[in-house]
Amino acid sequence: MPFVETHVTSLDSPPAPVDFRCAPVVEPFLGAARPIASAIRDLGGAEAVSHIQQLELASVLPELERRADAPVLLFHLADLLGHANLAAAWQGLSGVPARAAELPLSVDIVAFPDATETRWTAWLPVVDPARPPALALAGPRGWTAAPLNGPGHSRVNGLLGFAQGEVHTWSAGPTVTAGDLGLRPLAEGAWSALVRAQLALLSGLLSGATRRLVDESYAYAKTRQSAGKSISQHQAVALRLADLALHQEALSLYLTARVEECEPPGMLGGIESLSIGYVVELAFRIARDAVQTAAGHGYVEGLPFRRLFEQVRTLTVMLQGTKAAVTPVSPVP
Amino acid sequence: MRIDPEAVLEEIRRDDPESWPLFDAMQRHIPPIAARADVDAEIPAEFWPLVPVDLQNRVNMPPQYGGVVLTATAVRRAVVFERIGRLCPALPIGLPGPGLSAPPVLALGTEEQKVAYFNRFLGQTRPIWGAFAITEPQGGSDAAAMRTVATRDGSDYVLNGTKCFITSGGRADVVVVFASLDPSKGRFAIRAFVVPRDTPGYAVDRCEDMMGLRASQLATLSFTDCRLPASSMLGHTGKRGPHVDAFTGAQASWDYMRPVLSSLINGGCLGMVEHAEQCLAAGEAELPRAKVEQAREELGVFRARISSSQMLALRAAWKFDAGQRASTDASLAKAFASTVSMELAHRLAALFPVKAATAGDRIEKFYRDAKAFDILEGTGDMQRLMIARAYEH
Repeated sequence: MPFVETHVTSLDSPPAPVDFRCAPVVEPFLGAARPIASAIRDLGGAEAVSHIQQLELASVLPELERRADAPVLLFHLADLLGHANLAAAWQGLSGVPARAAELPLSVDIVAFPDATETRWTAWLPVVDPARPPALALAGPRGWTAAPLNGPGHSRVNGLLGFAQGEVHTWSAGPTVTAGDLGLRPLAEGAWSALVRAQLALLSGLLSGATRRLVDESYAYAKTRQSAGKSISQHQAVALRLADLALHQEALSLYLTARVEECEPPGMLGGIESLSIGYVVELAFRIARDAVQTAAGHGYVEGLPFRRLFEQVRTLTVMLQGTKAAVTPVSPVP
Repeated sequence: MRIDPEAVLEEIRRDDPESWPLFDAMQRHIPPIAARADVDAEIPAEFWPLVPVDLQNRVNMPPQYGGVVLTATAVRRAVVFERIGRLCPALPIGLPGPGLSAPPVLALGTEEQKVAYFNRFLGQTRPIWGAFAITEPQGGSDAAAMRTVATRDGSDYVLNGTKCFITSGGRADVVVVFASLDPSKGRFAIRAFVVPRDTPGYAVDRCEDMMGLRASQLATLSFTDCRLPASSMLGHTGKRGPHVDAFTGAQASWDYMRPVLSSLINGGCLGMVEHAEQCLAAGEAELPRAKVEQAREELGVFRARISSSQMLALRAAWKFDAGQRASTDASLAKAFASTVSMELAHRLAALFPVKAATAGDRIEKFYRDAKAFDILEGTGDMQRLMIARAYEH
């Protein structure tokens, strides 16, 4: 059984027009996930992933009362767990969007198409050779199993930022057409649910990872001494630390509002219409300034800065790739 | 999370039929006079008969003291001023009412002092301004190092010193002045005094000729042996009591006004993005055709930035209304909004270089106004130092 605390909601008063509390559906799950986040912070690999899998999110999401709550829940949990241990969070949650789209249980990971639906890309965490993931290609017109090493398939090892990860691509071109793939129809609303879940997952991981970068920067600046005081007491560093907090808050609020669609209809729209240009600008800025704060120790392997820098960069590429699969609600760059 | 500004406005329209006409009138009558107010550095006299003055005097005042319900909560203020900011972010800063002087009165004053103070703004047929005076020529960000002193003399205090960059200082009927009982004792010797403009020794030395925000007003005030009854000190009861930390009254002003100002700035930015998009659509771009689409995309990214800024301002307002400590959130909102506005102004100047250099053009005016946003109500540098200190703990 998934860990869920009981939660009582008052139905009496109308909702306030402005409210920054977490959506009610999320809090019980966050309560259950917080001890897991603490536990996985310093764990590696399979052990951390098994903790995350105790949440049984893949079976919880399809059973939520409102389908629209699935990406919201996934975002907040990815944020919490991504802050604690990004690689484990990605590995533990990467199969969840397929469940949100109600694809068969045999499908682990979904590859998303480019705008022309002739090239699909899947980003995979560490692959267990004994049990490689079951991949599927999906798009607005349907889905199909994606055999590894089949026609049109290629793979790149050593995915930067997620150690030993892989990028798999399938190209439907002159020798393999989209029709040859034998796409099966998706259930009504499943493609939209899949895209929203994937964007919510990546956005949540990005929010958590950038927040971790900010926390690590403050912690480093407090302990590192220079000229008789913590470097956080030096104005140039203090101003940069403030900008780190400022831009991370801006990014997190922006992504949360997109996932929860809490702006009035007709304004900037939901997660599908998030501005990639803006998100990438903020994410790179946060990663850059965090490394700068730790200076030499941020530039080399050892402290988490270098690894998080590369992971944040990889996340933005994955986000761009998923967004390319979407027809935006309004033209947003 | 839920953000629905339209629902906030609907709530006001439904619950407060009295002050809704004020909001309506401001939206109608500000746009035609904004450009002239910038040139003349004052609000044109013909504005006052068009907008209910009695209601204007009661903006940013709690309803229990006669204030309008339109601005009764921080969230309402944020939503209302963002709408008005879309029309002109400068002129609202110069509108009448107690303004920044209200929060220290509310934070520090006795009940009698609050009633007496706010009564000045009620039932008037002309605009009445209040002002907040803390900045001095030698100290703005370092407000606790002020040199204006209040010396006890019998049952009075005698005020001596100079305050500068006081919003609406030249036309204020009453000013809340921060002064020190003993500068050597730093912050904890600071007190706040209610000083009417007709107090002997009170002088308006000059009104500044500003680069932007010209429809508002910044003035330098001097106090030369201004004799004030002890009862003019906010919090004075005539007997020994708990220490009055007047600096918290100043912080209360900043916590109150920074979400409002941030919202005004955000509205100004949205108005300029819309204006720039219209210029592009009307073929007024001073760019090669291929670059016009790129310009549209850039404006789209600015909309995303403004979206973050709106949420930072609303979150600060929401926390304020919930009684939570909102100083850090207010600083986040102000720092972000002022940064976005300057970046937008800078970018618009590059996209529309002729408009940006044409006196009186909206884009030209916005650049001058935006420069002020990173200075007033706490410079961006100071906001960032406060943010860093808060996050460190």
